[in-house]
Amino acid sequence: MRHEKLILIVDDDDAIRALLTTVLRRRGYPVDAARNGVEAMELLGTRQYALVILDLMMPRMNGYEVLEHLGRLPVMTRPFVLVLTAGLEQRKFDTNLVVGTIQKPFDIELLVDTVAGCLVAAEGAQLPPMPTAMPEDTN
Amino acid sequence: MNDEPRVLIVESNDALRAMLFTILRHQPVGVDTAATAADALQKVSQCDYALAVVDLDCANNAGITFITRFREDRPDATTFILAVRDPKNDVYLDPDLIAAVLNKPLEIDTLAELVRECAHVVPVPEEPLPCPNPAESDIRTRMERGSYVAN
Repeated sequence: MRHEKLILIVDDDDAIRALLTTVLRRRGYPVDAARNGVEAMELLGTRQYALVILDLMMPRMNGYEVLEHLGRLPVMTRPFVLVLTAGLEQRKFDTNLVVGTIQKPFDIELLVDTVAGCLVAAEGAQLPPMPTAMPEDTN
Repeated sequence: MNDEPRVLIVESNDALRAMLFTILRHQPVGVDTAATAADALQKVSQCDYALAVVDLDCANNAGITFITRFREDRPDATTFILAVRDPKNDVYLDPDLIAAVLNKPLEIDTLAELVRECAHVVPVPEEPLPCPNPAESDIRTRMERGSYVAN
């Protein structure tokens, strides 16, 4: 099944990036990947992502800095963010921005289910507002 | 000797080990197998593997024992550990030891593609151990072609 929502993976570990990209592409998700925060920012400036899967500890602009940038974007254009953690980070995340964390080591099945859930939620979040009144009948 | 990245399968179950070997030997990697933790540790002491597929449900806890001892013995090794497990078995997964987990029953295509994609991007150590023997998969291929001569 081919999905439309774009996903951005941001991780400095080549093998982890390859793993996440492979798994999600196999499920039909269009995926871009960035090696650090700088590359991520470049991609975020050119394409609209529904979901960012973000590692925190990276050289050349870490995940926290990327989160700060994303937090400044208008709510309607912000992607959802899943943070990759090793389970040791104590930081509380802005729940308007970070929809969840995925702890390493990744359970591949759980990861895919989580991504699917996030994209469904993202779709719901971006639906146009319902009209409050029916248009007047001109007949 | 082949320059393809080497992959180690650690699986105590003969049938599963044979199945994993058959799947992975058709990927562009050299494949070795180990049935016990001792056998696996012996192999990683002689050769730098890009990736290890380790069954956490092995007999005698061989998978967990191997991973733990391997990380203790060679903390700088870059080997990417892809674990497989029965999701019903609740095993603690240390993120410092294991990169990712695939649940059984295995999705064969996914496993093969993950091994293929990940093994080729794992960083090679600055001074890699010179693997003393060709990979089992190379030997098998040469035997099938009739071109293998044992030492």
